[in-house]
Amino acid sequence: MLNPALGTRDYFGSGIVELARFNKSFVVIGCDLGLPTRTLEFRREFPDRFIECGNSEANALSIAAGLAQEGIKPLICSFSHFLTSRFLEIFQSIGLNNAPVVLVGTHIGLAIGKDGPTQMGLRDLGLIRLLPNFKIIQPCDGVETQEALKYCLTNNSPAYLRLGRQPAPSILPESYKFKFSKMIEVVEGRKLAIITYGGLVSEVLKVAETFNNARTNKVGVINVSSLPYEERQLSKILNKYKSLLIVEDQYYKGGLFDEVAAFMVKSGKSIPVKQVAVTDYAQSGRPEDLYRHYRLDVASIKKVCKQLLSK
Amino acid sequence: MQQADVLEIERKADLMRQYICKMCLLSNSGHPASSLSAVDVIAALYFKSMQSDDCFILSKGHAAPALYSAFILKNIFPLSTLQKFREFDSPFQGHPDVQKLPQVNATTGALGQGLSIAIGRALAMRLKGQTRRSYCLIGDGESQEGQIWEAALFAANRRIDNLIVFTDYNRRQADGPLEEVMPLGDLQKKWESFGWFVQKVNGHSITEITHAVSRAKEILGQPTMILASTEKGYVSADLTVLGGEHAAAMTSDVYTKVIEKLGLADFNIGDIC
Repeated sequence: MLNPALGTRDYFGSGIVELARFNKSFVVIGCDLGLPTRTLEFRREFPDRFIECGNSEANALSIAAGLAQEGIKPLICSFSHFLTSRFLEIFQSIGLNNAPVVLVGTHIGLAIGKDGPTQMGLRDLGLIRLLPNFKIIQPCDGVETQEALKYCLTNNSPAYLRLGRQPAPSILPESYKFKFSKMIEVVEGRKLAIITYGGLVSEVLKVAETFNNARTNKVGVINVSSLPYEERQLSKILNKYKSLLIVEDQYYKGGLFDEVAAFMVKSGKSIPVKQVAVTDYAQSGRPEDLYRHYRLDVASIKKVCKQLLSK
Repeated sequence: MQQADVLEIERKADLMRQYICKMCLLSNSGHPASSLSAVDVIAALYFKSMQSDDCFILSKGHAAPALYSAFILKNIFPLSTLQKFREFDSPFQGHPDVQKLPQVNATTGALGQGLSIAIGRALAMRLKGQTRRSYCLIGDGESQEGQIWEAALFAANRRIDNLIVFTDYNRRQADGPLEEVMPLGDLQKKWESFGWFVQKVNGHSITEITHAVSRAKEILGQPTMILASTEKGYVSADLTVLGGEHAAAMTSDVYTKVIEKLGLADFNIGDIC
């Protein structure tokens, strides 16, 4: 049974321990953030398979590339913000080498709250999206995290697993099977589609509930847990819905809005679209205050939905 | 090592010098002086010290022509490949590219990363219970990169003793003499203070290089650094070319001077295709 108080990072932490018992092919690389990245239990149970690199992420990333080239699958864990700041190593040691390393970046979005923008993963998605051979996976709940983790261990290219700190209530059924590049229509609607990912999926579901009833669903919810996704799936969504709202727990540039907008321009399939995202560097504060400030809370998202539905 | 073996490796190193100059001349680009300083270390490793399943990573990727020359002498590529250096779709890319040429073991070019990759390789060998070794060549200018020292700390703390690293200590970098751009101080003491076993050699002496590697293989519980004192643009004891400049272009005149000094004949690529 999944615990609603746990975040996707917690499911990752328990998942690697469980999988390591019968899968001997992977190691975990730490960067002095064992507790917040939930790798302490793995380190305790599998000390020979845990490689502590301390506060030297650049070195850790290139070591991961070397391990991967020798056929050992490394999962390198740190805050998404710190890991992706070593972009030259990610680009060359991992990307250009096509080394099948799994970057595990936790604390995506504003949810780290009081620690402030020097710790928040608000531009990591934009950076990794630039690299042509990376598979980006951003699960929305425990079931999807466990599934995504299994996928990462068998995937033979560089991957980036983005994990959250905030509680991740159960969204997908326990029978759910992760398929890379699939968009998941968690709620089917007919007028407005809200496209989002990660920890915001559960919030957006609350928004959709207020517009939908037993007779009809005005608002659909799309969970984009894979990037890149199959463009024909986006094409179907653009055909089906009258308008789109893209809700992103990151800076307003570099994320899903850019992806979707570029596809609209290329394909000529354009419908009204709005975006809610972080509009400046962000700051410290309680997560709820930050989400409210950037209009990423349920009430604010509802307002934007109303505008789009009234068109 | 027998004197005849040394002479044979020196002969190969001289051919590598010619190939480096030839490929840089044909492509009218590259870093010939930086490649010439690394020749003897690469020749000693590829023709004597390394086992076939060991892993070498050229962290100072701009010296790629030196590595490509060794591959030609090992018959991995025909001599005619020289003319493809830096050309579109060539295995001999401007900097080593593992996608185009798996034998380089890692894509390098942006400085500072190859040593960490070599450490990852060494760690993996250890985890797999193998007795292979991981070799790496870094530059002295490259040693200004912070990541080199992150790697130094890690390898010593983890007692990675199947790792043998060279510094191509030619004391020149892109902006001029290393002492003017950013002095490194006492490199031997620095590496020793990080916990490495350090040796100093003449980086143009095959005997000294191979001897140092043999000694390094005996060291347990420590990674080893061999500080190879070299000259940028080194051809022979009495000839250095290109003024030791990092990216000085190869010219026909310099090429002719080099092969004359080495007693080698020029060849026409068209004749050997």
